[in-house]
Amino acid sequence: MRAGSSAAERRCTEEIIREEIEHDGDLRGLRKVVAFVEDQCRQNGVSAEDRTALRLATEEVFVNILEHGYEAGSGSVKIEVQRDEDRLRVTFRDRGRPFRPGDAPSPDLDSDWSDRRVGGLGWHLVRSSVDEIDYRRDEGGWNVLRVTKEISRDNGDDSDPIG
Amino acid sequence: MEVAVDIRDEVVVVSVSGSIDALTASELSDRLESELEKGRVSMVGDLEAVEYTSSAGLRVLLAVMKDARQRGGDFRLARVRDPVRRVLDLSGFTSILKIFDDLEEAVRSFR
Repeated sequence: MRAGSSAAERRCTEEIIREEIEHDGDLRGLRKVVAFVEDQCRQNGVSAEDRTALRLATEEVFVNILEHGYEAGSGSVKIEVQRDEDRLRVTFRDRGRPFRPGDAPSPDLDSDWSDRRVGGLGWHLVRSSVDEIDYRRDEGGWNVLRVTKEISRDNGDDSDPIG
Repeated sequence: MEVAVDIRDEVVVVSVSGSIDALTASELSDRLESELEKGRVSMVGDLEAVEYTSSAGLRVLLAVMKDARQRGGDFRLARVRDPVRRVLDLSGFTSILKIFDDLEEAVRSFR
């Protein structure tokens, strides 16, 4: 198995900052991916609460891709973080089986304890943590899943990190 | 994530620290289930030092709670911090799990 590789690339325009990390491997790359997204959140002054929400969405999407998208539980996932004014977008690209978030089964949130289904909460947590989820399968056979969150900032610092 | 087990008045207090995620949840599950296997079915999870859980952690909490209750005991939580409580709320766990602000109160609740 190849270890998770990291090739961060930075592309700046006047308004948009993008950073990307590439994972190739199994679930053990989770820490690195989460650290990358959290680091991007910190650099953009994202509040602790929103940072945790984005960490959660990132973990759930990443784990879902590896556990359900790739049969062997291992494969390539590209993660891009993009800030656009007060929105933070995290885009996941993978070549596993297509999976539309709308196909995820409804979560069991209110059965009695004895009937409560164990599991099946990952997508529910993603939906609860971000404002938008878009999915498409591109022409090259990549699944492109993007989550977008309206972010609040720590300490009210709105200074432009590019300038 | 780190897990420490202590027995107080025949109640197993499992103190967890760090993050419960897809990489650490199975270790937590093993530790909790091994107590149940020993017949120690009254358990409290002290989550004071847990700052994060994902659905992987929720799966463990629910599975252990169900197992403990089916064995005539319970798995209760104490000192759950806000980021974790928010996830428990979102998932409908706060209506089925017994959660205490105070650890001693959680231990005493088994008397």
